[in-house]
Amino acid sequence: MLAALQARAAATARPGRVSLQLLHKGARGVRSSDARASSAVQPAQPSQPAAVSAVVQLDEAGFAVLPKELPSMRGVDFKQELDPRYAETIEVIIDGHPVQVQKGSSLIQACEQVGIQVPRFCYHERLSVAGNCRMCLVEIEKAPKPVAACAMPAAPGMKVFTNSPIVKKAREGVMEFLLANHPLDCPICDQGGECDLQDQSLFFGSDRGRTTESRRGVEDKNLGPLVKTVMTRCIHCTRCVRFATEVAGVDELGTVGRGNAMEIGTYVERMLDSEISGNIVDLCPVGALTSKPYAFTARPWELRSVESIDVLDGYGSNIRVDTRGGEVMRILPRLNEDINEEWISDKTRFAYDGLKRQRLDTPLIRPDPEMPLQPATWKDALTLVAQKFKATPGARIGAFAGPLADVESMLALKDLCNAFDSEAIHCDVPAGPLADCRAAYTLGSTIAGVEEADAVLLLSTDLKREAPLLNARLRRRVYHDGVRVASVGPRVPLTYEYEHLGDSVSQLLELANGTHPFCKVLAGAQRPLVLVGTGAYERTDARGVAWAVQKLVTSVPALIQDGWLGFGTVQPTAAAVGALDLGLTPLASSAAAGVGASDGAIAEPLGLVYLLGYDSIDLDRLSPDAFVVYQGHHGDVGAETADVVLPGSAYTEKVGTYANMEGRAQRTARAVSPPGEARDDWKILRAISELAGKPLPYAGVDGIRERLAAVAPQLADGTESIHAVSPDIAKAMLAVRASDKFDFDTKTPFASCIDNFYMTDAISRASTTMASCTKAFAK
Amino acid sequence: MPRLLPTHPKAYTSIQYPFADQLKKFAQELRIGGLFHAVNRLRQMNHLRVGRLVGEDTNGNKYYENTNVAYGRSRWVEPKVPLVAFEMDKYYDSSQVTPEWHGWLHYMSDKPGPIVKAEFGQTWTVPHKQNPSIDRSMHYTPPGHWKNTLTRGRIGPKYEAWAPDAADAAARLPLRNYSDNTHTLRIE
Ligand code: SF4
Ligand code: FES
Repeated sequence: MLAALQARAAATARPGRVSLQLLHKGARGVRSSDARASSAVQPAQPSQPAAVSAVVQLDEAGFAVLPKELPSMRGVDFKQELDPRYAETIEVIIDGHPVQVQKGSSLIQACEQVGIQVPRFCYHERLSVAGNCRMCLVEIEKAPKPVAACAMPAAPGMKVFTNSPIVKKAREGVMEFLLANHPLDCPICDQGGECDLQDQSLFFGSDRGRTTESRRGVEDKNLGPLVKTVMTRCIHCTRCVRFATEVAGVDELGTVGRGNAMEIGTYVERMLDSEISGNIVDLCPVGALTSKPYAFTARPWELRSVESIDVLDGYGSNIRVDTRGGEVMRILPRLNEDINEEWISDKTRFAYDGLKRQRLDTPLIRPDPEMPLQPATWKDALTLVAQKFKATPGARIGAFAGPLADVESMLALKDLCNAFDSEAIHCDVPAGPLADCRAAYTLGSTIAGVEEADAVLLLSTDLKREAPLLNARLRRRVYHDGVRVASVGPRVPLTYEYEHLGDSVSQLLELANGTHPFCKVLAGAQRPLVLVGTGAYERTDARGVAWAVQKLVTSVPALIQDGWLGFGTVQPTAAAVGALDLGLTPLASSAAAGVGASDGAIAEPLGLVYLLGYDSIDLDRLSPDAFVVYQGHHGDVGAETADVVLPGSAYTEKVGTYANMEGRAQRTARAVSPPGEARDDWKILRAISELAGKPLPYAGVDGIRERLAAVAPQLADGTESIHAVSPDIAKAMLAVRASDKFDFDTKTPFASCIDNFYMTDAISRASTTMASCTKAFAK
Repeated sequence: MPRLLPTHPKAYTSIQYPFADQLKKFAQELRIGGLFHAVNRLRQMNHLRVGRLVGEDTNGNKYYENTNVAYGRSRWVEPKVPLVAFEMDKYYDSSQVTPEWHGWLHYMSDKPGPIVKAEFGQTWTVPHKQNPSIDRSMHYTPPGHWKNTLTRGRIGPKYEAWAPDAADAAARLPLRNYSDNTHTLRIE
C-alpha cells in the first residue's frame, strides 16, 4: 500500500522535488493522479514511465521486472537511448534484493529504477552531479564509510543498503548539520508545506539539535523582479547555479567563498537575465529562492491544481494552474518530456496576474460613434451583431482571429462567416506564402526531435526570445555534441556559440544557390535542420524569401528524408498552427495587416469586422463606416476600436484546443470561471448564428468536436500525438518553379518577429509583473 | 454466617456525597480565617483548595502545595488580589509568577523561589515585571473590532474590469492584494 502510494506520489510530485513530500499529503497526490488517469483528453505521455516503474514487481526468479523505458532515461542525453551500451543492465543487490538496473546509472538512479527513493537535496536528474549535500548517503558492503549515492556509479554485484542503521545515522547527522545554520522561519517562509528540508527533516532528521552556536546570516541578493531571495535559508546545494550555467546558459549565478562563508549570488550585484530564470524557484529545495509575485499570497495546501496548457507562446508548455477561491494564484510546470521537460518560460510562469487586469466582464455597446462604450445585456449585444451579419453582404464581412484564439472558436468563427458567404477569415500569422503546407508552418522535426539534428541553420529568428526552451534544448546539443549552429538573422546572444552568417537576404540567396560555405555543412549532415522565424515572412519581400527558403530546403536532400523533416517554422503564437490547419487566411505581412486586405490585395472595404481577440488592427485602413465587433477577454486596442464588445474567456477559464508549433493538439482545462458575464468563446459565436437565423449545426461541446474531427482530424483526436507529414508530400509541396522572379529587399535586415519577450499578447501586456520585467530586462 | 471475604471499607464517592470535600474545605477555610475569608475565597476561586503555604514572591503571589492530591494539581499559586475584588481577571495574569518560582510551580524542580534565587540569582538581573498587556486598554484590537472605532477596509475585487473610460478606471477599487494588507485592514 505504502509503495503504491509512494509510486503515485512520485508520479504527481512537483518536478524537481522529492516525492516524499506528498506522502503525508497523500490525498492530494492521489486525487490529481486519478484525474490524470481518467482524463481522456490528456492521457499519460508515453514517455512518462515514472508511475509504472516505482512499484517493484518480481518474477519467479525474484528479479525485478523492469518497465521497457526506464525513468533514468529521462533527462539523459538523447544518444544514450540509441546507444546499445546503455541498454545493457547489470545486477546490483539493493537492500538484499538482487535487481537489474541500467548500466551506467548512478546508485541513486539505480535505487529509483526499483522504486526506492533515496533522500537528496543537490541531485537533480537534469543537472550535473554536484554531490555536495551528502543527504543521499548509502552504505555499500565493504566500503569503509557511507558513500553519496548520487555520485557513485552502480557496479555489478554491488551490495547497497539504503536503510541500515549506519545510513539512518548518517542522514540524521547530515540533517543536523544542515539545520544548524538554517533559520527557524518556516511560519513566514513561502516554501512552507512544499519544502524538501521540512519534509526530509520530518522523515530522516533527529528530533533535536545540539548546536549552541549562533546561526549564520547572509545578505539577500537582488535577482530581479521575478525571483525573491532569502539567502540565509540556502543550503548550498548549487542546483540554481547548475541550472543557470547548464540549462539557461547565464553565468551570472555562482558561489563565493568557502565553507561557512560560502554564498550563492551574482558576483557583482546584477539581475538574472534569462527567459527561463523562474525555474530556479522550483529547483531550490528550500525557501531561499521563491517567486516574488507569489510571495505571501497563498499556502500550497490551500490551492486547487488544474493541469492545463500554456498558450502565451507557440511552445505549448504543459502547466499546472494553482487556484484558490476562483483566482489563479500561480502557474507551475508539468512534466512533458516531448515539449517542455520540466521547465517553463518566465512569461508562462509569471504573466498570470495579467489574467486579473483589464478584463472584459460585460458586453459593451457603443450607442453612437462619438460616445464611449456602454455596458449592455447579452441579448442586446448579440442581437445587434446578428442584425449586422444579416444586413452586410458576404463580401464585406471580414473576420480576424488573434494570437490567443482556441481552435474551437476559430472553427465556429469560420463556420459563421462561411454561412454568410464570407471567405475573409484571417489569422494573425505571417506564414504567408507557405500557409498551405503543414510541413512548412509547423516544426517538422518536432520539439524533441530538434535534439537529433546535427547541423542547424536559423533564419530570421531570435530563438532565445521566440522559444526559450527550444533554445535550451539546442544549447544542450551544442554543448554535449558540438552541433554546428548558424544563423542568418539578428545578431543576438543565444547562450551558445553559433556562426552568424549575416542578416540580409543576400546570405539567404547564397545559401539557396548552394554557393555559401555553410551549404557544405548542411549537405554533410545526417540530420540537418532549418528553422525559420516568422519574422522572415513579415517583410515586404516575404514571397521571395519563402521561395528562397523552399529552394534551400529542396537543395539539401537530407533535410527531407524518411523519418526526418528537417525544416520548420518557429511559430510564436499558440493560435497559429490551429488557424492554418483550419484554413484561415494568414496575413501576408504585418504591413498588409489592414482590414480589407487579403493576401495584400485590397478588396472592397469591409462593412463588418469581427475581431476574435485580435489586437493588431491597422486603424488607418479601417473604413470609417465599418462596424467592428470585438470578442475577447482583455481590453486592449481591439476593444477600444470596437462598436460592440463581447466578453470571452481566457485560457485558464475554458476548455480549448490549441496546437503548438510542432502541430501537437492539446487542451487547456478550466481552472477558474470567466469573470462577470464572460462566456466561452465558441458559444458566443454559436449564439450569434442562432440569432442571425443560420444556426451552426452543433449545440454542444461534443458537436463542435465532431465538426472539428471532420474539418481537421489532426486537432480533434485529443491524443496529443503529432500527425507527421509524409516526406513525399512535403517534398512535392515545397518544390519550386525555377522561373519565379522576385524583387529582394537586401537593405532590410532579417529581424525577429517579437521585440519584447515579456509582452507579446493581451494577457502579458496587462500583467504588472511582465511590465516590471520589461523595465528591468528589455533593451 | 461468618464472612469468608473481608469487606471493603465504605467509600465516600462524590456521587454519594457531592459536596463533601467542598464542605470539608469550606470548614477548613472557616477555621483559618473566619466566615468573611471563607466566603470571599469561595467567590473568588469557585474551587476551594487548601494547602501548605510554601512561600511568597516579590509580586505578593502565594505558592501553596498539597501533596495529598494528584500530581499536576498539587502546586498552585494564589495571586495577590484586593480583599474585596470584583472582575477578578483584571488582577492576575500568569506572567506575574516570578522567574525563580516558575520552575517550582511547573514541577521543573522542587526548589522553591528563595532557594533558586540564592543558588542561581545574579547581581545584574533586573527586577521582574509582569506583562503590561494585562491592562485591557493596552490590548490590540484590529480595525473592525467592536472597541476599535477604525472600520475594516474592503478587500479589493478578484479582477479588475476594463473600463472604456479613464475616469471610471481611476475610480476603481485597487485589486485584491494578499501579500500586503494595508488596503484591506487600514493599518495606520
Ligand atoms: S539558493 Fe536554493 S537552489 Fe540555490 S544553492 Fe541555495 S538552496 Fe540550493
Ligand atoms: S544528493 Fe548526493 S550529495 Fe546531494
